[in-house]
Amino acid sequence: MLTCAEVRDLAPELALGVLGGAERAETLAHVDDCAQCRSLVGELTDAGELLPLLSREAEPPSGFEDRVLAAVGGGRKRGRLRWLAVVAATAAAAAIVSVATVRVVDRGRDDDRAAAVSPVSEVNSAPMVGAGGANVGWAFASDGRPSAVGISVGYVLPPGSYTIKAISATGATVRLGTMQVTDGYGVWTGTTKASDDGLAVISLVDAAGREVCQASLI
Amino acid sequence: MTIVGEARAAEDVAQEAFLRAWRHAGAYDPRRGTVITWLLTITRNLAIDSVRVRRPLPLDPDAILGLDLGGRERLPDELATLRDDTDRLSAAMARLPAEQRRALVLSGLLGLTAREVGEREGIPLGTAKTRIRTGLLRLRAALVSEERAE
Repeated sequence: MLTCAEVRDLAPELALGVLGGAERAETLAHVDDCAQCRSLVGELTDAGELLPLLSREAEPPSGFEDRVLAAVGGGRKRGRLRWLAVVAATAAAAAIVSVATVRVVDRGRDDDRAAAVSPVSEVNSAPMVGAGGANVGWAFASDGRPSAVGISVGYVLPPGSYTIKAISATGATVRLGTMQVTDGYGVWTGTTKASDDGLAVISLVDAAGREVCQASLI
Repeated sequence: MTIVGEARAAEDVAQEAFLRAWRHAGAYDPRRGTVITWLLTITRNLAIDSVRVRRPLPLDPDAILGLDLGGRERLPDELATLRDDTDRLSAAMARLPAEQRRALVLSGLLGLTAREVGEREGIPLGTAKTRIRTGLLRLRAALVSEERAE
């Protein structure tokens, strides 16, 4: 077990993410049990995490956004789901969790949307909360009919198949589909015509019938 | 781009950063900082990995940043006009002694360990660690001080 003096020596590198291997593990173990060192690492981390802001800004090359969205969609970006990929990717990558609501701005990019799906004015997002209040992932659901739903979970849930259950704003329960969690994460997108009033709750149910996490969208 | 130095490599890193953000959105904790900071941290780590594969040492930190970090002190009223985190950070960095600033950029932005900073700067390991630690603490103190002043 490292001493506080040794941890103070290693704390800057831990905070900057450049401490590796056994030293990192030993330092983290000490920090878990020592409030004083934890406070120091926290202070150093607060400052260190801002340093990437010093990078020069650069405009992405032409087509960059489309390539990212294609990769996020995993080749399923055709038809109705493409606009959802746009919304969800934007929310996930740029603003998801700092704001409760993401407004969709139609820039005329997706011709499929107007033909296949009723207009969407906004997409609600909420954390998927699991046992002990842990943030398991995020859920997105648009208004409009049908309502588009996107769910992303990571790290916490064990691999397997999960049933996606939703409760509409009027209290009706509907099964949306099944999501596979593999290699620590899972993503599901789809639509539902369950309600004109939108979805109030989305939850994941494991193979044993236990509700493992839930997002309250209203 | 600042770290990898090539447009194509920067695009690859940026794309991978967005993918990771999408796949691991559930790991983001808003209590730990803003989404932008989280995204930049992911991007920085990927860029560092990319650089380590392609070349052994990064470029000169001051040249990479292209910032006016030559030691000019900003006046208090000039500081008052700084509005966003980047400006505040740049100002706080500019007030650090040059050797601490370089150590912070080399380690915090370009991902060098204290040992590598020491080798790069031609200084003992202990001195490199001191520069990084003191620089970080001064940087945080300056940023906290500015937040309280607002």
